Amino acid sequence: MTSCRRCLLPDTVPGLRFDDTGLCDLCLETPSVEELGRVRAALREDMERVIEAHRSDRPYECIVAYSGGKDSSYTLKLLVETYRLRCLAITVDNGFLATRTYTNCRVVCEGLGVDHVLFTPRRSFMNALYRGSAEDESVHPPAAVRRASSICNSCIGLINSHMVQKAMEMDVPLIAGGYIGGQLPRDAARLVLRPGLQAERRSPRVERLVRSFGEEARPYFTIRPGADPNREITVINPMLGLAIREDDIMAALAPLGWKRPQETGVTSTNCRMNDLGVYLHQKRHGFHAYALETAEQVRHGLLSLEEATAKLAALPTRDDVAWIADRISLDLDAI
Amino acid sequence: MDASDVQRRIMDFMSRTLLFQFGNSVGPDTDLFQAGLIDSFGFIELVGFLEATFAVKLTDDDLASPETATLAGTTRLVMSRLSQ
Repeated sequence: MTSCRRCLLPDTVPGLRFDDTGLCDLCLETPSVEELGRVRAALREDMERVIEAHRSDRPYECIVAYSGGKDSSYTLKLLVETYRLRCLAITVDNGFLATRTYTNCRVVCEGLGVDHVLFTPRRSFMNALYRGSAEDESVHPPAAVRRASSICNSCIGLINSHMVQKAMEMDVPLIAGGYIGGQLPRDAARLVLRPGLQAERRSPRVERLVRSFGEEARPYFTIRPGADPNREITVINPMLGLAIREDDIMAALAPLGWKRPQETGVTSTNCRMNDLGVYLHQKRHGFHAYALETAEQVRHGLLSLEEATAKLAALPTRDDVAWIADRISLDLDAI
Repeated sequence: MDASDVQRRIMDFMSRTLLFQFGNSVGPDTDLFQAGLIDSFGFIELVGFLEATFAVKLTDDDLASPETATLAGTTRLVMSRLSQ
């Protein structure tokens, strides 16, 4: 197996090409670290303009998709302390959050003085969602499965839909995610959603999810347009405008009482289901589900090659994930 | 640049970045959203590619248009912007 000498992406990543020097095409089209710094600064300025444009006397100015993990915790802290936004943190309890995650959510929100909602979808549906996603990845487009595991794609899709639903219901103009580089397309740093105008474009996706997971899925993934078809919701991802390393993030969160959970594996700081997604993704595709994200962090100088190598080498084993598979009635041997 | 050049470059992008091929079951008039071959993030990548590659600016109406659900429609849209 060949891997990019700069970012470690292996040749098992679909669509990836290498030049004669061993650089992948994603690295070849990535500008210099200095230019990336300018890009981040531009993203930050753009986000700041968006924030200023949406200040209001509404009860909440921004919904934060709050997983309780390090990145969304840092995002929440940034929006409250630096940008003085009135935020509502919403956490989706997928049934596999680490015990420490609940505590992290509580101490961070209390420490920041933020209202917090914990939304718990029916366990039976979530287990079926995960099982179905593990058994059949074709519920997601091929490029989505390159970006993240099928399990994560389904869960994140549900979370994102929920955030937009709540923003529509509560008349909140902004949604903030804790995405970092490599988790999103580069052009998705700021998105303007128009649920009314986009309903028809979205409909095939919802129908596909319903075919895969049953009619139960429809209310979780449907976004009702609301009275104003031109209503806009802007999604921002503040972390994309920052150059901050993992250890600095956790150091910044420590005074709030945030602590890394011990049972979420190497690549998650909130969720125990994550390891099953990583395990299956590696088994099926021959590359780590976090390879693209890790590669982007390396390109931005936020992760050393040694750190990236260690992260990608720490794969969960079958024994590590067997209990998760049992919980969702997934036959691991059939995958 | 003629329409076949534009279409070829879009097809190449879809193959390399969106990871699907045109062939028996996927044609120029296949609705790529209906076929489950592209999602909202993939569409964002496509729009970014079109604007950067062809130096065009797509409007909100363009993005919501059924034209951008197919290869043929996307090609027509780009050609119409190039002719402006």
